[in-house]
Amino acid sequence: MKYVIETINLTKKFNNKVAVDNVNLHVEKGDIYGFIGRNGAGKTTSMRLILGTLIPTSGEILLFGKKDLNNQRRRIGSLIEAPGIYKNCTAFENMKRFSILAGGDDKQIKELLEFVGLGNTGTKKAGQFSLGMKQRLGIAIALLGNPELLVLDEPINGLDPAGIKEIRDLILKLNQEKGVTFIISSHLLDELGKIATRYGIIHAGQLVEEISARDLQERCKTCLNIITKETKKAQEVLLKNDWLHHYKIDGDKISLYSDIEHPEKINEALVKAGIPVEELSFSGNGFEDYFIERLGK
Amino acid sequence: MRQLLRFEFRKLFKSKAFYVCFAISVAFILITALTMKALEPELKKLDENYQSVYSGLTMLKDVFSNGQIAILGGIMIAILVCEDFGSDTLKNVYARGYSRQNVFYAKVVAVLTAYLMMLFADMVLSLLFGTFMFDGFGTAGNNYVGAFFGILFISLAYFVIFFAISYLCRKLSLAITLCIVGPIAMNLLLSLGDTLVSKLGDFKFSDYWLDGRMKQMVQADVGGGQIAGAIIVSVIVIAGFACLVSLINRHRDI
Repeated sequence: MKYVIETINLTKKFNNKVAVDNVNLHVEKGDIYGFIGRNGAGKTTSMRLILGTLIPTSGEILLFGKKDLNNQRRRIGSLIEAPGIYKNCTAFENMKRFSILAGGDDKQIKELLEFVGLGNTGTKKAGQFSLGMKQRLGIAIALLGNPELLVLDEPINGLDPAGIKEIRDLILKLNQEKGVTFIISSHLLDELGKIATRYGIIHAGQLVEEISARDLQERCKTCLNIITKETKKAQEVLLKNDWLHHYKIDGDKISLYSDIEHPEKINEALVKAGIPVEELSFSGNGFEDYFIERLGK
Repeated sequence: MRQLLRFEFRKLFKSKAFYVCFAISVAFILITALTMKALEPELKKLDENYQSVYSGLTMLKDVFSNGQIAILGGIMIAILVCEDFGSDTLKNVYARGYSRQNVFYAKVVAVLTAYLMMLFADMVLSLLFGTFMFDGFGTAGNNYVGAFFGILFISLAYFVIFFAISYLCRKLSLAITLCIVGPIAMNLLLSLGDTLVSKLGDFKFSDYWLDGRMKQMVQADVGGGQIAGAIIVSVIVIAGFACLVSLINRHRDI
């Protein structure tokens, strides 16, 4: 089994609107897969399809390399959108109920509640919890039964900085010590950047790119800026030479994010075409700029 | 399936709504019995030869004919069924690999158990109140046992309708409204239909619906044909609604 999650041309339509369009997702065992996209890009829908709360319009899903999805889903913990909890019950009762389905005894329930900081909530009903506390309870429920894969949709929503750090440490601990695989969506790219080992970028229902954190770092490290008054002509030259893959144009500046290993060749081609290059320089780039560039395409 | 049943029954026995509806249904029976008892002296004043028609057996049947228990049952079913939709907890269940059909069947078993518990408790209490507060246990008329089974089938048919409405609506307020208004609206429509066709002969639309059949079942003497008719109508309603909700559920997103 190479992939813990593999989707093949996964598609979901709501009436005539395509929410997920032929997505081929690949999550390897041990990955912390950061799933990134704008609001409405199809992240949550993809996750819900994987978890079986939505039925795909077409395409295939393989979990742990197998097609018997319901059996494989027993190995998955999840937190999708707002946590699903019984508001008129205590945190312990919520955990107790879901432990019947997911596994886990009273000892594990107490440990998990302690871990997420809800060990002292006593008889307080979940409906009276703050947003952050509800989120913590949702995470504790997802962790019941020691799942091998965790699907988390915006898991740090509503958490304070200390809570965010605790969850980040927990994710890293589970990943490194127990080999738990994660697929996490988050708008907080910096937070995701601290833990993700691989990224999937989704836009308008389509998976734009899957990239490892190492590759991403390489790409973000440098970006080649070409400043010229004739950006249109320069674009044509770059395109002709197959250098125009990942790029951004801002006024007189063309920023290239890939195929920039030989800037001297780029310069030579531009000069030969009679394009006055005012400046050719490398600059560093953040995750955010890279994602915006990829999502903007 | 075993885990799903344990899950559903834990929820059921921890549910306040279940106990509240249970208590209200018992209170309904007690109030009905006390009201009838309080009316007895007045009736005797009006008619010296008045003899109580009430007994354990008559009260047992009457309790189910006035519709209060059915409506209360509808409310209880709506609360129990819609809880998981309202709190968005069903996604946790599906996401752990439990199939839509198994989740559905487990819920049917748990909610049906709650409904039957309420029904049988009400039956026993109405029998006891009727026996000790009025004219003893009473004597069973023709086909009393058959009529009793007819009532049970009709009650089960109501259960299936209320369950289907709640499962398809998902929203508690809408489900409760439909469970209360639905049967009333249906009866009004049937009465209108009966009035319109009354000149054509003995045909009555209400004979083909549960309420009309329930009225027949609580009469003093019930014919064998009427009992068979009640059971057939109930079975058709049960099969129809069960198939409908089961089919829709199979392909439904949450």
